[in-house]
Amino acid sequence: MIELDFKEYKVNIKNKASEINLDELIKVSNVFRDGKSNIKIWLRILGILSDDERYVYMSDDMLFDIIGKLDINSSDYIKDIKIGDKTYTADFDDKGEPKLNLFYLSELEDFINKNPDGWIKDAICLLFKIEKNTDGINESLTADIVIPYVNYINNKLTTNFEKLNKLLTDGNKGLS
Amino acid sequence: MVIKDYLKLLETENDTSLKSMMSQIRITSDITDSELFELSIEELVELFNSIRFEFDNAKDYIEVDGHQLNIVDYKTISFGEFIDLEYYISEDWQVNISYIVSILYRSVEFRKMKVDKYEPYNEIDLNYRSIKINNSVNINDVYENILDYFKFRNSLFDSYSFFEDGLDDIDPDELNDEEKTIYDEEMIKMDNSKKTMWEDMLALLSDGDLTKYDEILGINVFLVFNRLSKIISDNRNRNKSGTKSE
Repeated sequence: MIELDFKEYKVNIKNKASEINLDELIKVSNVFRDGKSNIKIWLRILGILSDDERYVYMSDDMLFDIIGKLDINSSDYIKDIKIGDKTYTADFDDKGEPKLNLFYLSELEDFINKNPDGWIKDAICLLFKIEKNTDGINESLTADIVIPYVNYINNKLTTNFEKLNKLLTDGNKGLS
Repeated sequence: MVIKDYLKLLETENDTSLKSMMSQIRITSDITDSELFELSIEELVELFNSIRFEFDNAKDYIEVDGHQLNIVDYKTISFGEFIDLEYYISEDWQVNISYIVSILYRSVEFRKMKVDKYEPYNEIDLNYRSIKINNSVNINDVYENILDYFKFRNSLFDSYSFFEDGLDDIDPDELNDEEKTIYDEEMIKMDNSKKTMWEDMLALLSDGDLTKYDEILGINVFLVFNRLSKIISDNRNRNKSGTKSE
């Protein structure tokens, strides 16, 4: 957590993946998806991660300082997630990567197409077989848990769909 | 592939989302879900691209619920059967394939030295039979015969001038505003008259006598159209001579 001291008041901004809950992560990723990297975009992101809207009064130096301190990334798969007193586990393949066979890929494609703003939650719930309305899901699924899976899914889907489109276009049926 | 599955396939045919491709493969092959889920993208596309239909093997008879049904000789079709077929053809014929097959395939008694005797059309429960056909008849066994019937039907339409609307040769884009208005009005009139075309034909042939409808509907379609053609031609001649005498 970064503390911004405005003398009369203080603003806390989450800067570590483990501090960011699922809803916040989804909002942040949607901002990144929709816009280019500019000051407005960063202000919107800090709006999601801060506990006081007066963060907007920060100087440009402060803004760049905070952006530099944002560490919203994670690469280690956490295979077991504890929500309340229950533990949920994702399936992994022989290479130690999340299992994304055609069943998962087809469901994920559907989620992205039908719910582009909220597919991340759908995807994690699918991989870990979690009911979407489970109590405590938002707080338990922090960005450090979710990000590696989202990155892997994005990478896998992009690669596969490029391949799929090429195969279909080159094939005798095509996309037409 | 039975007709029911073919119709499911039609619903998803142009969709190449993974789910849709997978359901098309499920319909057309014996692959189990666990086998399907483990396919690579390349294998999926290969299977998907292998789905093709070559309707070239239609049969003269099909088996439905333990009964053999034979394709009828189109030339023997009655006016009523023709009208019913037109109804199912005009309302998305692919969806109505099983109804069309119910009319075109019938029980027949083959008799030595006599013409084949088809079961009476008015005794057929079309709804029941179409469900049975939908669930059990292979699309490949009937498809080409349906297309053949379309050719027969088209040649029938081409043979009788009362089906011509006289507007086919007009290109509406080449008309001026006034001509376009008249053209549009004629098109609306024509569409309205098409809706009641069969009813109007029956009324004309029966002189408006409802009790004769059943009898006319059972008459061979050629005879009916020939008669209709004669009546229309006589009426035109009468009108012409009436105009002259005035």
